[in-house]
Amino acid sequence: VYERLTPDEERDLITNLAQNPDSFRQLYRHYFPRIYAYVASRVGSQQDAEDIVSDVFVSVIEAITRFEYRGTGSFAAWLFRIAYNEVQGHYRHTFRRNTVSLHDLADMDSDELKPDEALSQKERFERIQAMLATLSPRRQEIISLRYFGELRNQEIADVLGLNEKTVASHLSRALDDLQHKYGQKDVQA
Amino acid sequence: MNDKQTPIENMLKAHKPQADSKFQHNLEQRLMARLHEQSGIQQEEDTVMMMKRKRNTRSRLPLTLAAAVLAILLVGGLVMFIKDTPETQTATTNTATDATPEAAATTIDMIVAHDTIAVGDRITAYNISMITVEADSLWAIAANANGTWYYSDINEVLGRKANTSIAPFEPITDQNTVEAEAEITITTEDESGIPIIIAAQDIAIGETITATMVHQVFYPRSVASYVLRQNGEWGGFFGNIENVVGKQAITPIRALSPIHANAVAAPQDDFPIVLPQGYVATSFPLDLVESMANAPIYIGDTVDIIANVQTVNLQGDYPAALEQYADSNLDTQSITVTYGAIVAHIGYMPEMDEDIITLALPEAEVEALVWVVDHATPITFTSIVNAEWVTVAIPRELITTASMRQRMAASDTIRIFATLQTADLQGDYPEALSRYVTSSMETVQIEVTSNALMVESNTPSMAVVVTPEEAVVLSWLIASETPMSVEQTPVTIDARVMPYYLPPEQFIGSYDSLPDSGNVRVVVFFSADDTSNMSVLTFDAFVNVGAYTHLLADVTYVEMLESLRLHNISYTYTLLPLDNAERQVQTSDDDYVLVVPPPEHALLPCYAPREGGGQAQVVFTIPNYETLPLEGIVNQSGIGILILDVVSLSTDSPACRDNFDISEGFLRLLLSPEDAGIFDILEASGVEYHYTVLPR
Repeated sequence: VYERLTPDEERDLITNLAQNPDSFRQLYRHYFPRIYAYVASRVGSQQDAEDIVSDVFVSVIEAITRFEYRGTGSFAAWLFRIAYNEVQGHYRHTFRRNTVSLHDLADMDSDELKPDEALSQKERFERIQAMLATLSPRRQEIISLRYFGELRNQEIADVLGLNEKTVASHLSRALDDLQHKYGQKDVQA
Repeated sequence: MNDKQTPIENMLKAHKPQADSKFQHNLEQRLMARLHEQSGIQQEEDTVMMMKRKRNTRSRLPLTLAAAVLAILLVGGLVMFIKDTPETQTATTNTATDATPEAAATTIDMIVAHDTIAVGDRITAYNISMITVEADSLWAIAANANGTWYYSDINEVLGRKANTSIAPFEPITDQNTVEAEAEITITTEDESGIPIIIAAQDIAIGETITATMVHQVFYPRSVASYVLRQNGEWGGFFGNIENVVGKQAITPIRALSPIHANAVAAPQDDFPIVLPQGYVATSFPLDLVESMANAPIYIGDTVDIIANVQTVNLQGDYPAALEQYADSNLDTQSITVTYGAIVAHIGYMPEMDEDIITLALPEAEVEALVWVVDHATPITFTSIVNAEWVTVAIPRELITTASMRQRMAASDTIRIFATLQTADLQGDYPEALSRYVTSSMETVQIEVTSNALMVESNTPSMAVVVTPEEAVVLSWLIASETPMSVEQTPVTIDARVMPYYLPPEQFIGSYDSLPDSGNVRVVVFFSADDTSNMSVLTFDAFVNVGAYTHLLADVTYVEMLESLRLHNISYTYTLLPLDNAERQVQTSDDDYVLVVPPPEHALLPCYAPREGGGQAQVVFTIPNYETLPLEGIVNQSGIGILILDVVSLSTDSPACRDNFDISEGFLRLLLSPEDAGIFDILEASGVEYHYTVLPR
């Protein structure tokens, strides 16, 4: 379920949230696919992605009364900052874990997809993950926020605490690296 | 729109991960239920918040009083200002808000700091608040005093940088912030920083420093206070231009380097280095070694001295320290005369009327050095990377243009070939080249080294790290102006290879046992399920150990590693140097690790490290350091300070030197294995940090 919002609609929903909690439903439907795509691209496992996305939105509704709308993009930056923090927390937690069950693998397939489609998507996603893994962690983060979280450079800069030019530079170099490494023909295959 | 995008971008967008719709729906239901439950509680919390705000208002009374005093003091000036410059006020209302009499009857929005904003911090949506005040209130008057403009439009302040510490509820103005791209200038020490004198240009040894050759800059107090505490006033760095003008540089000082008291001397001072106990100094003409000293050498550097000695000379009266070489069957031997001599002075010596180099070394080794100076050629000085490796700088003009077209960078492993003229093999030449003496060919293509580590590739030379034996050969080739070519070392695995980053957090073992780069055996430990035994995956790869362990390995193994990661199977790994590698790094406590801190975390805009090395300290400031599992962090005014010793530093950024812009370059630091591990943890932790480098 995806509901696209215009900036004005988003602003109205946020400012009316105190009076009308149901407004959050539309915000959730607007942002859920982007948050999920970003988180999944960073953690690689469906189970972990769902756990983290749940934590993100729970944190959001706990903190949303303290959020002040500061113009277009401010809510997205705030939301993705929470998601980014959760992903970082996940990394730190994961590094301390010794083992994870292989049964997690079964969860990688989506209920919505037919088996052959699921396999195809999984393979393609794994391929992208493998490509991104050749980039530095910072550039992986920026690519994920840009293409899976659909954030603009300024919003990415706000999330990561970087200069917008630095983000643009990382993004450009990351794309160049990927293009250089995998080539146009390879990518389209 | 898609037409403008690259295939990579299109592919990324097309393969965006999608969630299970059931999960999305269920989460939505849970969230909405919780939100409705929460909204009932919220009304009570609002009441509590109201009470808190009232208390806060009382607690800020002194601040309000201070604002009142400020306003009273300044209101006269403000009135004058308004009267004098009405056009200016009107002209700037689109970017900042003024408290003109016309606006006095209304309320205005004002952007204030939500929390303390430190110098250099960017203004973001998270560290400011919008408050509404009466246009003629004390806040408005105080904020607008003396031509200072406060902001009421959030979009105008986002991205600006604080150029002074901004207290909570202090208005964001055009005085306490600057444009995002502007250089921060701090006017007084008390407000924000410690004044440090830096070189405005390269200063050569012996040059007398004038006021135009130096700058005064301000180091953030959080960094500089460490220096203060350690070494007394300014930590030995000059703070006032007057104190440094007129002194002579006794070591080359790179543009932008902070100037330390040890780097200069009054003209009458002639020997600035204090020798360690048991060391004595000996001098000899610089031209004796200059042709061979291809790596830059600076005062304070530690060097090895390698000499080629003809065995026939080891007869009769020669130092006992060289006795072990006397019975050799070799005609010429490469002898390391001394390890770790300290360069005490380089420059003109009036008494000798020539340039001399003065070395400090243990008394017992002086005799051998003096004898070698008299009897051996050539003598090679090599700055020490560690006990097993030395740095040699190859002049660019000797390297064929075609081979330099390859994209090489510091930390690359390279092969070096030379086109040897066999006719040159007369007189003194390295023993390693003796096999080519009898060649019937006029020129012979030889491989000098197959595993040199490139340290720096700046004109006019390319610095590489090689073994002492290879250094001798390289130095001879350089002296005989033998053309050379370089190429990147191919990975020894005969397969399709792919790059891969291994996370440092999952590394087991010590970096002591690792080469900076070379062939290793990768051993990966993982458990296929919760109960089964540990599985082990082993394969060989080429490795560069930096901030992240960068592998080049067979694609099969890369896919296996990626599969472990994708399937969230935690694994640990260790890296074992391969015994059968063509040449292995000798593991010892002296091995160092190259790390590259992200340029965007650099606290100061640029550094100008000395080419070829130089010791320094890297100072990390970490605001939220409490959760880091690291020892050695010192709390200073609420900020974590971590200092690591840098063995050598370099940068690949000409822009840094030319335009003060490090954004396009990377600072490369050689750290001890332990310190590199600390940096890895810091970088991997994701916490916010900044760093600066203080040359020693």
